[in-house]
Amino acid sequence: MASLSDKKINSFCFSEINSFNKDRLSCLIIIFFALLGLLFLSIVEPSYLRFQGFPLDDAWIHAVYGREFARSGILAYNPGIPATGCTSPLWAIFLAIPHLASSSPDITVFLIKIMGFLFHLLTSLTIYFAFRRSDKTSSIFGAALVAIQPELIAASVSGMEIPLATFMSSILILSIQKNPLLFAFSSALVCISRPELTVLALLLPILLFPFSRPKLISYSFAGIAGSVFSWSLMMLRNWRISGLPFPATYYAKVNSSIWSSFKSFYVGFSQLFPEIAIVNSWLIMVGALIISLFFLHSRHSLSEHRMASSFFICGLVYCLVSFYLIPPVDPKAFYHQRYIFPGLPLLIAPLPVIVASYFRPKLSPTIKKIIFFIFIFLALLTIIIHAPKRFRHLANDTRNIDDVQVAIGLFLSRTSPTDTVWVVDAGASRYFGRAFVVDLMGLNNFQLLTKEANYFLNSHPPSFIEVVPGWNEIDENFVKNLRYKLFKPSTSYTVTSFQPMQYHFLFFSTEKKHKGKIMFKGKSFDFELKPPKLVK
Amino acid sequence: MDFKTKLLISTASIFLVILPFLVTRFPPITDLPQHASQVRLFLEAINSANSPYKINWLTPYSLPYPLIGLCWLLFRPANAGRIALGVIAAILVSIIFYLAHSRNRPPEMAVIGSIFIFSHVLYWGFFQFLTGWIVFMLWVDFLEKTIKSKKATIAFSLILGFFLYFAHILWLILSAAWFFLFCLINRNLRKNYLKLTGIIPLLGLGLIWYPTLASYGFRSDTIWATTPFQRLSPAWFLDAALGAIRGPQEAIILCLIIGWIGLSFWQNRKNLSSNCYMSFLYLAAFLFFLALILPDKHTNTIRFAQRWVPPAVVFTLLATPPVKLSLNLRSILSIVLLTFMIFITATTWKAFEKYELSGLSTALDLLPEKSRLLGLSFLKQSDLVRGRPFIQIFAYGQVLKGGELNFSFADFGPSLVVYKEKRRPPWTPALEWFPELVRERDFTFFDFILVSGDEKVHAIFAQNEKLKSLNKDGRWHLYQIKK
Repeated sequence: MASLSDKKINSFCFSEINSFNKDRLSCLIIIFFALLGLLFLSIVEPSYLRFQGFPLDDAWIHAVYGREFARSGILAYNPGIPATGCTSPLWAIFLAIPHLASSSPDITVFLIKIMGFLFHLLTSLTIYFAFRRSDKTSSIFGAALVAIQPELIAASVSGMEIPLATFMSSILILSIQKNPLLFAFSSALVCISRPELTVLALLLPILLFPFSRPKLISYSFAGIAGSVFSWSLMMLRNWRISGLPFPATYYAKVNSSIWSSFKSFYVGFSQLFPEIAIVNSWLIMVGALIISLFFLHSRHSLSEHRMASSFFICGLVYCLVSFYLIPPVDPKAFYHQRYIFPGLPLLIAPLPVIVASYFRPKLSPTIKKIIFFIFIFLALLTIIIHAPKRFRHLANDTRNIDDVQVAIGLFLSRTSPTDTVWVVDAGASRYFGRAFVVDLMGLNNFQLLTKEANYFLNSHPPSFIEVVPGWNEIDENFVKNLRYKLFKPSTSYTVTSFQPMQYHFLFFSTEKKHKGKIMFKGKSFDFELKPPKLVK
Repeated sequence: MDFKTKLLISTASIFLVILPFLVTRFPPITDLPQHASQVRLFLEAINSANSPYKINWLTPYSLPYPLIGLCWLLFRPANAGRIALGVIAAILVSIIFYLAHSRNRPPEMAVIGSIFIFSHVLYWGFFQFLTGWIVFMLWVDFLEKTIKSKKATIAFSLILGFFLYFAHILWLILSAAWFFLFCLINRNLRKNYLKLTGIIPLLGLGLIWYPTLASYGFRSDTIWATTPFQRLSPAWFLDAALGAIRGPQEAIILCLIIGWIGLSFWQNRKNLSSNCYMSFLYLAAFLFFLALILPDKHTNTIRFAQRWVPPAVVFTLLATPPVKLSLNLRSILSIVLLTFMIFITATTWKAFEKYELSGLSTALDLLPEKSRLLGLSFLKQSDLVRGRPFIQIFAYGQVLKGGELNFSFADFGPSLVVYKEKRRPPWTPALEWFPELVRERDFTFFDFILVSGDEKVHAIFAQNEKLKSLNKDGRWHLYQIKK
């Protein structure tokens, strides 16, 4: 069985390499567009790639897991202690590579960005191969639009798992055109690159093969098998570590909002979508949805039209699932936008195919060409106008994170490994700091999500406590006895719309122990703050 | 339909369109008072050698002023702006009907097309753009006509080019662009090249004029507030096609019109190209394309992209084949639709005048001749109309009583009448847009302040010892500055 699968995988790889040779020019066009996007980013924000960090503290959390995997071979947050805070285990494993290559944070961060961009490039090329059965011009432009899409370019160099997730979803849509074994394998990988992408593995066979029973059964089975395999491994690991089946993030974030599903969907589509180039057109999205439903409904649709429509619908369903699980409470913030980014290539790449297929039988060749090129021209103009705004946003978010979270991390780099820090933002403080870190949100310390929370906190008395308005607070009767250092951004705060969150207070005591009370997540806990053992 | 009936329908449409201008003294048209006051400044510049103003004879934005000037003489200064605008609207409707009639297009489409005169283009008071629209329609007509005499062709081209240049430079550029596209589509450049002869020298004149505009400081950042794809949305299209009156009425009217066009295209789908007037359809597509790609603001010109949508809709309507209903029913439905729009417009304008401009007439009556007037409108948005209808209201003071304002179109480089020496005001700039920035020292440069706002705003001004309130009713109060 293993040798058979190896043969299939080998033949798949060779066929793609042969295709690459045949489609060299098309691939070069797509690579050119991706590089053009990166060049544009470098022109608008010249210092971003080389001299700045990441636009979200969560990216530093991924980096922590990646570094620990490189060091010890386990997915850990605090050294040597397995944790379940990683929603994308595969990305953490890939992040080990830059950490093996260099121990200097500057170089590592740069390598992570380059690796993310390479995944983005591979996504665009894979999408081209997935759409190649459609007419060539449409598939090239579909892939080129993905390659140069500003949100995807920005996300690819953000240190987040998005480029890996988009790459895995593109592999998934390519593999469903090859054989069920590959599809099962891709389904397994897609789940550990971004859990919500499981929905693609389950939905794609139903949309693509509703009129072909054997294919429907074999690919559905493959999708389910791959997903179940991955999820079982993940859940088993989580269960062994924390006694909870899902990643800690699930318990901390999913359904934590009081928003109704309807409100999440409404805000997602009406306020978050307009922030993203190409999908920010109501007419294009609704038009593509109607045409896609038509193609999916008709038995006589050409297979390439059904394929493009299936991918588009899958992209929309992915966004729906994402909005349902994590409501877009701050649609202008990259923090919330990034959850739907793994679905973006599925929404964007099929558009030229859908537009071209709709007009094909109805108009003269000249008019068809004009409409198609007007569409492409408008799409590219949209990107050119939109990109500087997105790249400035990315760089400013990063400046904010560098000024606050990274600065806190660097401040904590003087601490001793026997010190303990209680934090709200657990990324850069752990990456740069040397102390044991307690993540008060519970994302990386599952104990805080259980009944053991009080015991866990008592057994890890802090030397520093990070306070972020809106997330946690120290009882005002105790605050006056403590010293604090304030960290705030040097530019306008754009990481979230909730402006008080830009101020981070790091409380500590220099001389004696202080008892106090801290409130977070609607609960109150006692603490005893002890002086830190700073390293000179 | 016979010519008499068409004439009757067009006359009824013209009457309906000018009705709102007749029933309102102060229509909610932003730049109207500033344009009217240009006539007063023109007279001042002509009659007095010591006047601080000069006439910008070469400016490509002066065509509406002879009309406003004529209305100034015939209907008193207070009415000059709105009556001139009413006349421009009436001419625009006439030209739409002329184009429909001369091309045997369904007259009901011209009736519906008249609705789009009441768009944001009118409400912002783009006199020049509206005038340019008229001339451009004549240019479109001229392009499609076969004139045997070369001399006559050149003469017509020169006249139209001259009018296009002095109406609005954008329309001149668009005319040249449409000429080439028209010739490209019809492959008849050799036949038509003489028609361009009038445009080319005036484009050259524009090139000479443009640097003077830039040197006058008339420049701004080019802003795309929305991307082309974002503009492909119903909300943007509604704002660009009409975008004037608040409430659901415009959306209902636009939906009905889109439904009408859609039904017509569906019924004629088998012979669409032969039943449509393709030349207008291409022109409409070109204008829509411009609206999608142009910036929102360029060289201080706001709504740079959206302004092309109302003409695009009118050309689409004129290109659309008739709906397969009886001619009488079509005509009645279209007249009902236009009447509905006019009813909404006229009642909104009256309500605007009565409630949102309450106190203005009294305040203007109390303003002495030749005063230095500071305008501060703390009312920023209207509850009835979109845009910023209050920002230039204080210029009625200059229209009626002369004097000087904290901001005037004479400060604008492309205006017909401008300051000889560009003003460098010692007071806070842009108070017409941002009255909240006013400081007490600004009062020292003026004799009176015209303030709009709610009771809280007027309570603050009334408490100021340096100010004396001259009228106390309504939202607009005049304050005398004590010296």
